[in-house]
Amino acid sequence: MSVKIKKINIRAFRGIPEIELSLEGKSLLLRGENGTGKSSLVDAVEFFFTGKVSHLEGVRGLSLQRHGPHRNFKPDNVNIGITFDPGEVYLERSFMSAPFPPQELHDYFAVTQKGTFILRRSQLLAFIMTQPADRFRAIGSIIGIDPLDSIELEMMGLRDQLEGKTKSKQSQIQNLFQELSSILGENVTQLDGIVPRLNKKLEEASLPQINSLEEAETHAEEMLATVKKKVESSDKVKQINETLDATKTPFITEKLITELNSLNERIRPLLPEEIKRNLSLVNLFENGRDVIARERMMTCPLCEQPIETEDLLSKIEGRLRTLRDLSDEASQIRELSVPLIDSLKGVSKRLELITTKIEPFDELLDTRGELQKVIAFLEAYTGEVTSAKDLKNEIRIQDITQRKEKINELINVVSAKCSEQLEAIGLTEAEKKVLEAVRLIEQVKSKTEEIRKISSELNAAKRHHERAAKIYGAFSETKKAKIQDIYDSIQEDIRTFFTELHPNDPHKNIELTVALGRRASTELKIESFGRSGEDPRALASEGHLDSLGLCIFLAFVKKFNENCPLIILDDVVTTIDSNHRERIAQLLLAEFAGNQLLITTHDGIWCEQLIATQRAYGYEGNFKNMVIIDWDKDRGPRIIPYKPRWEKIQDKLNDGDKTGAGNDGRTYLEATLKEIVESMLVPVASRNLGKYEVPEMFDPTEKRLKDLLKDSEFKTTVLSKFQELRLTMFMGNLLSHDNIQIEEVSMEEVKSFCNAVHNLYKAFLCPNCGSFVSYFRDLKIVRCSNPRCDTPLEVKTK
Amino acid sequence: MGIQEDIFEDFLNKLNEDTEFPDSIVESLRSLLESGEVITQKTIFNLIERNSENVGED
Repeated sequence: MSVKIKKINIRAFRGIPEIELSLEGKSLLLRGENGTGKSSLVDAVEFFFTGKVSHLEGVRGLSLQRHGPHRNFKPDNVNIGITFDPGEVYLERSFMSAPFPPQELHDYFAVTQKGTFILRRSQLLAFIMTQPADRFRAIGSIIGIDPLDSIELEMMGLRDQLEGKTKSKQSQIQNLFQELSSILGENVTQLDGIVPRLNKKLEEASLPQINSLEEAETHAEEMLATVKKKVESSDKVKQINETLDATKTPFITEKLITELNSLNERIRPLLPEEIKRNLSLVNLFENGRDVIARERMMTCPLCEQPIETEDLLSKIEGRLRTLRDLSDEASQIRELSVPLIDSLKGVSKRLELITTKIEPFDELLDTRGELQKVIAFLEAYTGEVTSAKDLKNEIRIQDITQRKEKINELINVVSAKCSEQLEAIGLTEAEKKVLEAVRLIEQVKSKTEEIRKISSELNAAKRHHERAAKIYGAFSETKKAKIQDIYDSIQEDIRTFFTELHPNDPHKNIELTVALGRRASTELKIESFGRSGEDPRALASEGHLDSLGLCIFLAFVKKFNENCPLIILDDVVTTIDSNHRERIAQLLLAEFAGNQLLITTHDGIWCEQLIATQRAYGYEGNFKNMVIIDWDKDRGPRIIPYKPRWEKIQDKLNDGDKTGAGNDGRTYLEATLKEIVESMLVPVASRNLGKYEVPEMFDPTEKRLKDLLKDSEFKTTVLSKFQELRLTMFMGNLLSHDNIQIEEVSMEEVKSFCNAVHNLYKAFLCPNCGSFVSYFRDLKIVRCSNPRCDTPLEVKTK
Repeated sequence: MGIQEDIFEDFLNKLNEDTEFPDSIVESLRSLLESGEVITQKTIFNLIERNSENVGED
């Protein structure tokens, strides 16, 4: 026996101070005007199962804590209790405690805790009018694969991060080869091309050659030893030589400035306060998520109240998903800034080396002081770039451009002074050549070692990247394939449901496909007027789109909520015309009769159609049909059993309530004519919001029926009902809008008017099953709209 | 088996079929997915790095 809700007790929640709703395991049809507490009931059930109210989430200024409790109560007073059958299990939820279902309700709660049993009007279009990624998310939450999206994102992020790291290493190696090429005066792209080119240089200077870079240092030492005055000045020569060596490579390059500038261009849009706040939230959520997951926290570290870890983690993931784009950009900025900060630090380090090396030279005392100032500036500037990386400020590009010139100026002074010093030592030309060669060897060796080191890091990065890419690729492909299998498995249901709602429609063959080449996206296509692969948003009406959204929801619920018969539809047929609403009623009762449906609506006609369908399908006993007759803040909604319109009129007639019966009769006529207009496709002048009054509909409808129907008993009957009504309708006019002439109308006249309206309504019901008849233009018939009717009323049209 | 577990299983099988992909990474991924731990770039990277080092590649 499947689990059903027996009773709902709501206290202090949304628009409901206190209410008990007894369902006895039946479905509920609840009609009420807008703002009378229907959605409060749905919110309460959602809160009970999920601990949240989805439409209060993710909107600034709205919160469950603030807007959940009824305004006369505090959060502590909120309590939702639900009694389940079988077993009369009573569970409750408050802000302090969650329901702990017994074993026999675990499967039921596994579905309801996801909240995917509820469809609100506002969510209908989540399947249709959204971007493919949002559609994927909406469907993903029903299927229960939303956590996979986060995993996939992390895998993709790692792949991209490692790809960036690989490219950065490749770029560093390329730069080092460029520097080597510049030192050797020839293009070098491979490590084994270095020694031959170095030997060429040595040969040009008539110096001994080397066999490998490993012996280069010894070779340089030996050559240096040949320089004269080696005893007294070789250390000094070496010092000068190393200083000159350090001045050869450019410091602040144009490339570095350009890259800092483009980084700054990406940082600038993220600096507004709101974006920074969201990015701070990302940090907070990511850190919070890690701590909660690692520590398996069961209580809130702030208020020390119990928390539901899984639920909280899932909420954090949900919030992170919405902030992910910003977070991705911030993460890329962090990634890009790392080599730039390293470069700036490298410049400072080299300048420090030079200031140390020139310490013995008194003549460079002032230059040394200037260099120290530049180093202090660079350290501060590096700090500025580091904080810009964390989006705390912009990078001042002009400052570094100015310092570039200053550094070049100082280095030129150092270089000139070193050369002067060498001259003063009085080296021969041959010795100078040797020094030059030694300097060359040292530079080449240092660059080569750096290339080897980065190449080794590059190999590791490539291997890691390759594996991360395979992990992401395999996960993404598997996920797509599985989800497509799921789509394929429910596609038939979507198509069947849609065709039941829109038979003979030019829009059909709905296709749900996982978008190729895009992550976590779902395409929705439809065949329209014989053309397949069309986007339904381009072709179908709002009513078509809403009913398509409903069909998708129902198909997924049918497949994935099989352990939970509960389905809630909160005012979902607003944009759908009367004819199609009736078919929705039939679809729900034909396909989901075994479910426990909680249907709310403000629409009186759909309510009557649902009740008529219950009757037609023999499910009257499965439903509690209720109506909210009024609502006020302190008392909440007043809910009473629903009485069909005609029964209410009869009650008023029996009570002698002439005005009440007359007004209701008039409304009954309006609703009946509206339903005939929609089901018979009667052309009436366009009116805003579809609110037509009797005079606008009566004559065109009668004419339409005369013109449309071939001679038949049905035609004779319906036209006679129009005639009967025409004779009494003037009373309808008198009875409406507080007409002062109402006193002149007798009770008998009111009765005959109301009877005439009811007779007109009955004339359009199938005598076999009680469903309303509809005009099927393609088939050229008017027939019972119930596709399951055994002997439907069927009348030919012209 | 739920859809999520089904996807995990197929994903790991797919990696296993790749003869060049280290088995140790697949097994570590399996443990990670089964542990219910939050999966981040860092946890996946650590797993790749650890298993690459184990086989002496880095």
